Parts: sequence; C-alpha cells; structure tokens
Amino acid sequence: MKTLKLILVVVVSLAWIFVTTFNLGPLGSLGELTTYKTGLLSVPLQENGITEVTSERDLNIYVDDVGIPHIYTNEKEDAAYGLGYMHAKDRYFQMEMISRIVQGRLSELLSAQTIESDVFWKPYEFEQKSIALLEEYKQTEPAFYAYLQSYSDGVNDYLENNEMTDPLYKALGEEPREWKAEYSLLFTWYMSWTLTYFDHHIEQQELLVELPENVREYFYPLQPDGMTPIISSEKAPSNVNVPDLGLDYATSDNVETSESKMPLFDIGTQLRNKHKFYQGIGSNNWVVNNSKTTNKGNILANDPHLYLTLPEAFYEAHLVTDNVKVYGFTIPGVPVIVSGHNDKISWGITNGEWDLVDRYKLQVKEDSLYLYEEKWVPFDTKEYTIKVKNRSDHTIEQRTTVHGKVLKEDNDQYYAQHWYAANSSNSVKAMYDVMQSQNWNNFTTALRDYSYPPQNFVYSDVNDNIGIVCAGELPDRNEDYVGQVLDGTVKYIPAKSLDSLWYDFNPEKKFLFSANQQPIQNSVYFGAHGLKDNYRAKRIHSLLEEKDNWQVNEIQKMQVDEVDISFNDFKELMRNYTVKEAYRNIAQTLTDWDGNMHNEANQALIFEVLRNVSIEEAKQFANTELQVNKGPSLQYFLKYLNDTEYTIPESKDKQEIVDAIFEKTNAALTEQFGDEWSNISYKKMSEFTISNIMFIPGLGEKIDDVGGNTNTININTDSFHPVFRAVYEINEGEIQAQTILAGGQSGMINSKHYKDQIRPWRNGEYKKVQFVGNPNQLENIENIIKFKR
Amino acid sequence: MKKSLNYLPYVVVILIQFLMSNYTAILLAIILIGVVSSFVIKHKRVFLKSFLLALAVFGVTFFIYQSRIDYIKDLLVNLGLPGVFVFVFFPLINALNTAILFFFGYKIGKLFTRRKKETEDQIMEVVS
Repeated sequence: MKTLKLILVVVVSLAWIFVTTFNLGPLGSLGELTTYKTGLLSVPLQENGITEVTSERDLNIYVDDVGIPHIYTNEKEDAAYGLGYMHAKDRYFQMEMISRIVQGRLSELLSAQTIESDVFWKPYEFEQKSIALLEEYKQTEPAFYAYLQSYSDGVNDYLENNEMTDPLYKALGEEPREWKAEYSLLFTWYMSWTLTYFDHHIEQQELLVELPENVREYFYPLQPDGMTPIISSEKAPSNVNVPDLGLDYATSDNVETSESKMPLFDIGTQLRNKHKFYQGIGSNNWVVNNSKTTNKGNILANDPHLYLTLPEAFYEAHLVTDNVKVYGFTIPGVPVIVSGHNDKISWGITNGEWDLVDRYKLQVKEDSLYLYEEKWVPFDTKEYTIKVKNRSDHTIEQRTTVHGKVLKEDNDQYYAQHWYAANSSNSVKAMYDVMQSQNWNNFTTALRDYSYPPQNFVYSDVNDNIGIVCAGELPDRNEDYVGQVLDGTVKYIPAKSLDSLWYDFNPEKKFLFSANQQPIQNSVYFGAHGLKDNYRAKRIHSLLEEKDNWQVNEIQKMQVDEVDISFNDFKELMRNYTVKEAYRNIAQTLTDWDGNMHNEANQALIFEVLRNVSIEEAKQFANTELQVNKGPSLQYFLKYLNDTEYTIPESKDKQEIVDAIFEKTNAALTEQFGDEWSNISYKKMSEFTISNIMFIPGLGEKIDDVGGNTNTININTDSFHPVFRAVYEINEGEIQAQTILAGGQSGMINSKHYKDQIRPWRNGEYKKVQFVGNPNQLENIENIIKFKR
Repeated sequence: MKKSLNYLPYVVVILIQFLMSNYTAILLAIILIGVVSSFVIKHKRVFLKSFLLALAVFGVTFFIYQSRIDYIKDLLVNLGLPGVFVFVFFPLINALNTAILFFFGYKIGKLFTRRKKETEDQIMEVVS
C-alpha cells in the first residue's frame, strides 16, 4: 500500500512538472511565469518623476500624460538620441521584432513557429542591404549618418542603463538585443511588404487574353471615365499589345499567403497573413485651402489605414532643436516624422498602391532548367541558414532566375517574380529632409529622392499653399505594359525608375485629396487602381467639393464619416428591378435609409450582407458568364445590372441575377442572425478585436461600437482600420494640430499608455497637440528626463 | 534550535526563487532540497506545511507587487474568466508548484532511505 501511494505521488508530481514546464507557445512555461524571479511579478513598472542621466548629450525630455515625449535640445543629433531613448523605453520589443522579421531572424527570438516568416524574408538579404546602405550614407551623407548613429546610441543607452520593464521579454525568457544604426533602414522594406507586395498579374493576364476589349473596358477598365485621380489630368489612351502566353489560370492575388486555421500561438502565420497587403484598402488624406475654411487657414487631415495591433505602428513625438521644430508620427525604430508638421509646413501620407511586382512566365524542364534566350539555363540556387531558438538550424534553398525568385503555382506552372521594392530604398533619408522642409520647394526636392513604399504626400504651409505629391520609384516599363504576365524566355532588361515627380500645387478647386486611387490618368501604368471600387474616394471628393466653410471640428467629423455611397447604386438597382415579394422586406427596410453604416443601425447590417452577397455574385458572374476568375468590382457589376442598354450576349437574365442576390441575402441574414435579423444592429458585424503584437489571446481590445465598412471614410474591415487620425490647421501663421492614436504610446502591456487612446479614438475624439518652443509652456508633464554631462 | 532546523528546508525552497533567475535551476534546487530534507525532517504532513508556508509568503509578495500584473486581470476578463483568477494563477500555482516539487524530492529521498533501511534489515536478518 505504501509503495502504491509512493508511486501515485511520483506520477502526479511528474505530471505536474510536465504541465508546469511545458512552454506556452513561444512564451515561458506556467511554472516559469508564476515563479517570482523568473516570472511576471518581478518585472517592475516604469516610474514617473524627474530622472537625471549622466550622458555626453545635452537634452531634456518632457513626457506628458499621454506618454508623448517632448524633446528639447540644441542639436539635431541629440534630438535623435532622445527619440532613440524614448523609442527604446516605450516600444523596444516592437522595434526588435520588426527588425528581426525583415532580417529573417525572427525564429532566433520566437523559435520554430516563425520559420515561415524567416523563409520568406531571409533570401531578400535585407540585413546585408541595410549595412551597405548605411555605409553608403557614411560616405555620401555624413550628417544623416551621424543622425542615425545618434539615434542608435540613444536606444542602446536606454537598454544598457535601465532595468527591462517589458513583460514580453520576461515571458519569452529573452533579453533585448543591441540596436544597430542600420536597423532603422530595415523598416522601409517592412512597410513596402505591407503596402506593395501584391501580385495580381496572372488574373490580369487572363482578363487581357480572354475578354474582348469592349467587355474588358466595361467591367475591368484600367483608366475608367468616372475615376477621380489624385492629380487632375487628361486621359490618354493606352494601346495594349498582349502576348499570348498560353496560361493556365491559377488565382494568385498575393502569393504564398494561404490562410488556414491557425493554432493558438501561431505567431508566424498570423504575422504573414494579418499584415499583408489588401488591395483597395488604404488611407485618407486631404487638404482644403484657406478660401474654403471659416478661419481662413488651410486645414490638412490624415488617417492612414493599417492592420491594427497593440502597440500600433506609429508613435508620436515632438522634437525641438535650434534649427528644427517638428511634431508628428514616427515609426518606432526610425528617427523621422512620417506624418506631421513643423513650424512652417504640415504633411500627411496615404499608400500609393503602385504595382511594384512583375511576374514572368517560365518554361522549365527537369525542375532545374529554364529556357532563356533559346538556351536552357540552370536556376541560380543559394542556401540560407535560419537560426531557430532551442532548435537546430533550418536550411533553405532559394532558386532565382535573372528576373527574380522562382515560384511554382498549384498547377505546376513556374514563374519568376521581381519585386522592385526589394531594392535599396532612400525613403528614410527623404523623410529626414521632409521634416526639415520649410516650403513647397524643399518638400518636393526631398521627395524626389523618396523610394519605397510609394506614398501620396498631401501638403499645407503657413503661406496658404496646398499641394500633393505622389512620390516613389515607379519602374519605367514598356509602353504597352498594363499588368500582364511577362515572357520569361526573352532577354530580360531591368526596368529603371522613371525620373518623374507627380504633383499638384494650389489647384483651382481649392482642395486636394488621396484615398489610394490612381495618381493621374495618363499613359503611365501605376497599377490596377481602375479595377477596384472607388466609393471612398468619391465620397471624400463630393464632401470636399460641396462645402466652402470648413472648420476643424467638421473635418474631424468627416474623418469618422460612415456613409457608404455604394448604397446609391443599390437604390437604383431596387428602382430598376422588381424585388420578389418574399424578399421585399429587405428592399423596404432600406428605402428610407441614408447609407450611414452606424453600428446601431439594423439597415446597415442588412445592407452589409446585401453588399457582400453582391460581391460574391459578381465573382460568380465572372466565372460563369465572362469565364474568368477575377470578379469585376462592385461598382462595375452594379453599373452592368443598372444598365438598360448593354447586356452580355447569351448571358443570364439580369432580373435573375437580382433575384438571386436578394434570395441569397435573405438566406445569409437568416443563417447568420436567425429569424430576428430585422431587430439586430450592425454591431454584430462591425465589431472587431485589436490584437496584441504577439497575438496573445486576451491581450487585445474588443471594439464593438464602431460602424463603417470598406467603402466608408472611417474604414472598418476585417483587416484594416485608421491607425491614427490627425488634423493640422493653420491659425494666424501657426500650425495647430489635433491627433489621436488607435492604441497608445507604450508598447508595454503593463503601461497605462498601452491602450489609453482607444476610447477617444473609437469615439472620434482628439487630443490637442502641445507644440511649443519653450518647455515651460508644456502642460500635464508627468516625467522629466534630464541628460547632463 | 532543532525545531528551527526542521523548518529550514521549507524556508530555503521559498527563498530560492527570490535569489535565482533560471527556472530549471530553481526547479532542480527545490527537488534536491526535498531529497536532502527527507534525511532531516521528522515531520508528518510535509506537503501541507510546505504549501501553507509558501502560500503565505507568495500571497504577501503578490499583494505587494500585484500592480505589476494588472494586465493579467484584463487578459482573464477578455478571455471570459473572472479577474480574481489572477490570485489562482500567481500565489496559488506558485505555492502549489513549490510544494509539489519539494514533496516530490522529499518522497524520492524517502524512497532511498526506505530502500536503505530495507537493505539493512535484510542484512540484519541474514546476519542474525
């Protein structure tokens, strides 16, 4: 009996030891996390008050009650040092994680779950490219090099002289790694991946080959008549000469991104899928000049859309030196303001959504040779070693052709893919110059050197000028290029960048805006902007056009506008067709509605289901009637249904299509929300959760009181939301700003600034920016860090 | 003096996690102390005593530092669990863990001593 009892004790104890030492994903074990010294209880909180730091630098940092650092010093380099110090203090985990992602070194920190991410990134060799670029700056731009180096010093001085207060490091059982100046240059590639790594060329090729020109121009027009481009322009026809490459059509919107059911802690897959590019989702910025505002000063607004995490992508900072006074949004890891203002100008960004990927069809034999200029040439192969925490190294072999990396689609067809944004990028240096610009001339000169990811920069200055620049490096492709798949067997001539800067300055219409639409209508191929819905751009345009006496609070209200004007096309549809008796309640419910996707409205719920069903129906229409994979955008599908003159020969009767839409909408509403769907608010569909950067369950924030959809200015999709909202007003020669972040300044889950701005963000509220030259005028300062020799 | 020596292993296994920062080392140290204790401690209810003492110490530690892990309460609430579970996760699991590891070591030690005793008894039987 005694022996049995003993065995029982040993077995139970061993089971307990197993359970408590089993790692929770990349995090430590339960035993480790709950034990004092190795666990979360030992991680101290950051303290407020006055801190004096002995340093070679001479600066003071005042941190206000939302965690924004106001850095005062004489020299730019010391300001960079202070910003590095604060980025490290508040966001170091995020900085390390993103720099590791781009280097293909994430698995060294998070172990085997992120190998997939490293497999993608490592062969681009961004680590080596960043070192080479920094070395180039050392020779050619010594001031900028010194600036990056100072920033790096600030980061490392914080890490060396302060106890780590981020629980995530403790939970991972890791220490922060030393920062290097070249890491700041890695972030443009990360943003380029999020904002430019898309590849729709196989679908585009299919459209070009399979559809007669009139049908293609009707459903998939690259340069549609009704389009509102960013810059006013004359539309120029493009003659297209499409090679017949005899393609088997494998759909490939964004390669290597199949999303399957994800296990609880599969950070690698989450990272690869959540942050990826989604066409048609982007950002808003606009500016109205002084003749269209009540107080006779320009007003500029900006709200970029990205995948939201806690912490989010941006960090606010205020730098004051003898020569530069600048406030705005930085990306932790990068010592420049990407959207913000100084004492003379303000600017805001949106994604250019330019097509920076080329796809080449290859002829391959024996899985190793490709036909190139009538010769069979072996793939170039290179091995890469990925280091994995607590595991043996993982070795991969990357195959490339002269064009780029080799991809093999599901139908066994080989392609080569060239991603232009993988080239060296000068964007950080360009933004360094932008934030010091004092006028339009400085601003455009700086942006001439901007590379990737292409962005639309809206501009306003204290001299009542407004402008917009579509900046970035656009490949100088052949004149007949419209996104088709290219022939990989003929001589490859690398496309250089076009030496052009597209801009508009003080236009007659008194306002400018961008919402990821086509930059300008001309013969230059920017991308497939024309193929997507542009309801959001149209909404912004119409609001700005119709009103002449804008005030700041009205501009703010416009940023949270939730009206979906695609509803107008549906209203026309319901006027043009008879809705069957069985589904008439859907049409009747929407009759008196105004298209406002408010989260409390039942009509918004019904409409969103109707819209989603219509998009699916458009895809089906493409598959069955047009015999192509890519569905037309909703606006062209609705245009077709509402068009009384044009019908595809031998295609399904339009009334049948409309009947199917309403039937499926009714079925979807009942299936998703039960028989009582007419009493359910849109909240059920519009709610979403902002995840923690590590996708740890429970550390995010559920948002259930925001409306909107993919077409509204206040965008709300599964994936993308406004990461911040900012409004910059010129008032009596000074720039006054109001901003809000979708999260908080700190990336640490134990900080009160981790998500303290979410409530005002979801309510459409703003905080007033403190932009003062004298630190004694700052209010609500909670923490002062003084650096003295 | 002898009584305080009897309680020393209980105190050491608790103190150890305030001094060492490697969990594997802590785990092995507690088990080892448990093994050694089996030769020293004359008590009954070793597990209970170890658990209660650890619970008291870790409870006090938790109350001193609980503001450091307020986010765990949010996490639990977001996962649909009551925030008070944080008390379960920290002082209780820590105390239970310490007590189980200690008791495990103690029992292993006892196993040796019993084996040793049985061997000695067998030798004695043979000799007699």
